[in-house]
Amino acid sequence: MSSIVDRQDSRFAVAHRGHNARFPSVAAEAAGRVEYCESVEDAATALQQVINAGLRPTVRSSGHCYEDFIANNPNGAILDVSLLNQVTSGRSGSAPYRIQPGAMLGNIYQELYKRSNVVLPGGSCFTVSAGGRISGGGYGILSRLYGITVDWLSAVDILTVDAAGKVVPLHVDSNHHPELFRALRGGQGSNFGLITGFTFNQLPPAPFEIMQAAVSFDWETMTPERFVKILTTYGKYWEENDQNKETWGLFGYMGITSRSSGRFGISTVFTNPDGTVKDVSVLADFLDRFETCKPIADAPLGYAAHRLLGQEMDHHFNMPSVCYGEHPMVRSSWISAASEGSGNSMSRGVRAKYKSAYMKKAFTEEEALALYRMLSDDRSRGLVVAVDSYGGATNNPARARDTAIPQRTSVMKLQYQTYWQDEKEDSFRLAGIRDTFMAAYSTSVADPKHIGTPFPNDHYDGCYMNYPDVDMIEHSYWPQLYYGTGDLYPLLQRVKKDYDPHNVFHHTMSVRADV
Amino acid sequence: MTRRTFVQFLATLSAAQSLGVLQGSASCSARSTRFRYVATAENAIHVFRSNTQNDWSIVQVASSSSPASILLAPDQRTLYVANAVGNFEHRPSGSVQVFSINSRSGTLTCVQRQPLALFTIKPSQLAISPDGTNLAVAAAYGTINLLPIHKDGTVGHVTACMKRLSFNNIPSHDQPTYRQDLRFLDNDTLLAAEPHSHRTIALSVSKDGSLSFSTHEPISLRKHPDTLEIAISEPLREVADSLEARNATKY
Ligand SMILES: Cc1cc2nc3c(=O)[nH]c(=O)nc-3n(C[C@H](O)[C@H](O)[C@H](O)COP(=O)(O)OP(=O)(O)OC[C@H]3O[C@@H](n4cnc5c(N)ncnc54)[C@H](O)[C@@H]3O)c2cc1C
Repeated sequence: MSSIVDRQDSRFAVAHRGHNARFPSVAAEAAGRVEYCESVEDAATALQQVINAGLRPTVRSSGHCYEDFIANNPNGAILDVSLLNQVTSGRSGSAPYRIQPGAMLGNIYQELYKRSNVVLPGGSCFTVSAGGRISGGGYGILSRLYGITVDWLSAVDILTVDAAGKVVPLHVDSNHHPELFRALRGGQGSNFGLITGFTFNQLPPAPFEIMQAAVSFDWETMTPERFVKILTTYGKYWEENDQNKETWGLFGYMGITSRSSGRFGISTVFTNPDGTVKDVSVLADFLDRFETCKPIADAPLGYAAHRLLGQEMDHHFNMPSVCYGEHPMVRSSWISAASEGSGNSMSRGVRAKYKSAYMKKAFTEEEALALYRMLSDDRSRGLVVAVDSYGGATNNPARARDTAIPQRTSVMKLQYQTYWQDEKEDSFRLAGIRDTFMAAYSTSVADPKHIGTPFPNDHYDGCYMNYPDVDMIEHSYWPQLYYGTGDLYPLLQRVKKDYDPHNVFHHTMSVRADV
Repeated sequence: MTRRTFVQFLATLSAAQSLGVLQGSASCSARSTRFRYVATAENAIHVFRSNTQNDWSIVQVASSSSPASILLAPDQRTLYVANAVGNFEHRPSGSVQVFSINSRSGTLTCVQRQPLALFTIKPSQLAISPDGTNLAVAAAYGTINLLPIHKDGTVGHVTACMKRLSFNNIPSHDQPTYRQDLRFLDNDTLLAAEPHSHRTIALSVSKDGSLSFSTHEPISLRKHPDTLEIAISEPLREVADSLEARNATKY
């Protein structure tokens, strides 16, 4: 039996909200109840009851969703599957690996490591869960080395609702309901049903160890020329090394914070393809492109940069701009690094807004200058443009055909993020991120017919559905931003019509069935 | 305006809608004591005023987006319009417009346009609770929304969205977006008649603005052959008749 939290329940205040405190945006849009499901059977029963009651179900695993897809459900029901969080394997840790939707990424890493010494090439936040993360694609620090999560996905168990309003459990894989299977490999589960399990018949080995390093830059002394140099150097590295397998174990994160933050920087996580860091020449070569360390003999008294390297990215940005001797690096076991940042698994009251873009090529000077101008301006206060390395094993063209992630020629993935506490700041923050995004995609490399967006062309490849941005629906072509200009979106529309004929599973950016 | 031009005017409406208006279907028009409001497929609401008894003249053509159903507030100060659109402010939803009525001239001023719940598209019927505190909206494929009505006549955000799933209301080109008749039985009960099944669903309206299927449903509500239709067609006929009468005296 699922545990029902209705509006009278003292838990409701916490239960009906996710992590982004902006939602529900008004009280009237709040769900009428939250149902915590403890088993697959519970979930099926709860879903059927919600349908029979004429209500709209929205499905939640962790509540980390960036937009209002779950919390905005006037008088409806949130089916929370966070208690469905098992990670299992076959005998003695062999495949298949089964992951329930409520399993948190950090726990998935630990379970798979302990049982089988394998890894899900996923992301980096402990509390983000499988349900949305996997079905929406899932990428992370091992994606250049191993591809994205859905590239390894073998089967999905899902509860769908048929034309008669009956809940139908389906086991889908490449032989059974193959189109639905492809749709669930990146097309986001929230479009099609309630996912109760993911199966992986094979997963890559967990790296043994990793090396972390960082460089940071001072805004105070930053000039447009230097800013352009940093961004173009960073971008060129990923573009030039996209097919250089030796570098595939290198993950880069450039967090370009706005000028008011004081500094911005680049963090890296590195392992060699054999899972060790015995040879760090790839990492050192990368860091050298941004700063050449001065002779150790010139170091000021008491210089010990490696001690300044904390575990958090923010600490990395507090690194001094100058290094002496060798680049400071911190070695750790893969599993301890992957288990960091336990985060908070319940709502935290932080307001947030995000946007995303895939880039196929390095930043042009014009683009870098557009970002420089915007991030130097007080209008972008609090904004971070996170530029992650991408590509490598991810850029396997075959996966564009059998998954719902069509972006298979990109080398960087950008996430625009802004966080704040006070509701009164909403319009300022939302305008800041919007204007910066608009400026970044209005240069001469943007598609002239789709100015203001990273519409797929030879420089950009759209946006990421797991970083959804409802501002994009202003554009009639928003589905192409997320799902590409090929056959994928029509397929998703077909699947939607066939497997969710009543459009039970919908939200602001859900796939529009072609009715 | 003569009866002929009035009828011509009706004929300028799209085939389906003019048929609807002529047959007086549902609520394409509304009547107050001195004014008549007629929604047209030309994205407009025509306001007619009775100058003397049985003498009607058009006083305003207020623009509105795909008005499919219009309804006067019980106090006749506000007119509610269901905009039968599938997209509003880039979101997949219909909307409801609120017009304030000038008590002297009968003219309309749009004071609000409120979105419906996601995928509550092409709304076609409206109903107001007897105490005037709730507006119910029936939309394509059997979706029903509830919105609170504030003291000034404006409406709040949707507080409830319901749909009973069946083979008959699958969103699809092949399925007609039938009109679902709506009516409040009392402040706590909303009745929705499904034309395809001849079934009437009773919904309980809670104080917090939620809706739930009433426990004793499906009730068999006698669907009066004249139900809303006669009541609605009447003002149109009145207008037409008055114009005819006026012309008759002229010629
Ligand atoms: C701190 C943080 C770090 C992140 N880092 C990364 C990263 O490194 N890599 C990356 O790829 N993404 C990352 N993301 C984005 C993340 O992948 C998405 O937010 C993802 O959708 C979250 O899924 P969830 O199930 O945890 O969240 P939820 O909020 O529970 O769900 C998100 C969406 O998935 C749907 N959904 C959830 N569970 C189910 C289910 N069982 N069946 C059907 N639909 C379901 C929901 O309805 C909703 O639309 C990060 C997000 C955060 C907040």
